[in-house]
Amino acid sequence: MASTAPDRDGLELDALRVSLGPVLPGWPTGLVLTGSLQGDVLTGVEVSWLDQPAAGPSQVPASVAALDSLARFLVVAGWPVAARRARAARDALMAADEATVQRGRDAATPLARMVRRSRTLRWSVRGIGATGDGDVLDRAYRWCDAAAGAHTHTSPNAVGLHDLAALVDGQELAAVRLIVASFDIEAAPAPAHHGMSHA
Amino acid sequence: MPDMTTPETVATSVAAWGLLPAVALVVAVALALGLVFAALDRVVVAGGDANAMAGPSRTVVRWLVKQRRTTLAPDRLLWRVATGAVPVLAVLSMAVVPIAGRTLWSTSADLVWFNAMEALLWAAVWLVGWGPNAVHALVGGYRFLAQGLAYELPLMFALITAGLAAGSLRTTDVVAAQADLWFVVTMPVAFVVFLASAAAFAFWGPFAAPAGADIAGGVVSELSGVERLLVEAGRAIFLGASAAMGATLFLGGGSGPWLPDALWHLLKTVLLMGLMVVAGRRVPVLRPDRYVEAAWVVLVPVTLLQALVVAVLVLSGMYA
Repeated sequence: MASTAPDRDGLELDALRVSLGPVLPGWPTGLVLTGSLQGDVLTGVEVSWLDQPAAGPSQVPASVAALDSLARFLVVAGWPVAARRARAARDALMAADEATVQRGRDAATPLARMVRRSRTLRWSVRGIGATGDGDVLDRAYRWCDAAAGAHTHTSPNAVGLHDLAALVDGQELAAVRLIVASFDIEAAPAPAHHGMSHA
Repeated sequence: MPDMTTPETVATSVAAWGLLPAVALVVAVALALGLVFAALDRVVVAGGDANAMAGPSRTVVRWLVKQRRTTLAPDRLLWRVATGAVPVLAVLSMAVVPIAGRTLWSTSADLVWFNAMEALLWAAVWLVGWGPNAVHALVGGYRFLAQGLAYELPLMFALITAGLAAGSLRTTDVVAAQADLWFVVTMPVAFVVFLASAAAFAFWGPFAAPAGADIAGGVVSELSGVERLLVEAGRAIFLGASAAMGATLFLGGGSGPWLPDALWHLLKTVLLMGLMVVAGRRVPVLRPDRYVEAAWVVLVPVTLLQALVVAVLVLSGMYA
């Protein structure tokens, strides 16, 4: 049942206990975020895995992992056409024959360019979830670079659960969804001081 | 081509063909337009794969046979009423769109009727979000309230601009007034705003935030089976009806050489639907807090300016 509590604007609003996940479009399966929702602002956030996630980093090429993450982000950002293209390129890259893999590479580059150039996407999500090294859009662009074959380390947007929870606390529901989708969330709980600065 | 008839002798399709056939025709055309829109949409989202054309029909069958699920302590009555109202309102908005030169009924305020159906859609969609007593649906409902509020005025101004030039709010008069020049030429802004606002009211394409993936489907997230079908059909029918209305108000309705009027109107409508789908699917969804700003800061002033330009043209005898 809902009880009221003062919200950030000094209003008495219903505070609903909600849990997001373990299955939501564009989020890693098994990730559960609990918190209290007032209006559409989420506070007291805790993030956990429902179960121990699959052990160890998956052995896929960096560009494939980046396309996977990018496709998830694009789903949450509400761009189904671009998300489909990312998934198609990813599937081609994982194919056995070299011709299909090449087609995947040829598809990934224009997709990355399209996402990077979209003024609507920039206008729509710029400034959300800013950390020391950029906002959700910067992280999506890093995946674009990795997808197009630029040399980056395996997961450019890694984050621990603790840092993630601190980052999304006090954000609106839509922003929370985007921020979580803009990270590669580490399987193991991260040490308390991960070196990521956040407000 | 409907001639300039006086209001007393306007032949509605009810008067011409009888009540039941006329209603059946409007419902059939509305359903067909909705299905065509859904099919076009599916093809574009699937990246031009023509096989996706059958997707909507398959989905209809799936929803028809699927068992319904419900939520804990829903507001059953309001929820049911609202899911039923969405497609009914969408079909009713077709009542003032001329089919073969005749509207189902003709009043001196056809354009207001069209607008009124949209205003009621506002209430219906909000209740669809409210009914299930669930977080994502409720957030979607609130998003739609903000969206409806922001796009109601631009849409109204766009409709009124066409009525202003024709000197009548009757759709058949608006078509007749375009005998010399299609309204899209002198009111391109109203044309584009009309289509964008229609997409906003059907929460589709860049305006799909009320049913966005970020809130797991929002207003439609807790709908299943036949109820899901009713709401999704309503959205598609409304988009199809808006394309037909757009062709009526801005592209001269059924006017054109060689082919029969009805065929011309259909061609323009399908073309308009194609344009909407291709343009609407190019861009990602606009975040609610940004698009509301865009509507108030950009769309309301430009539609007012458009109305002013048309008003001056009316005074200068442009449409006489």
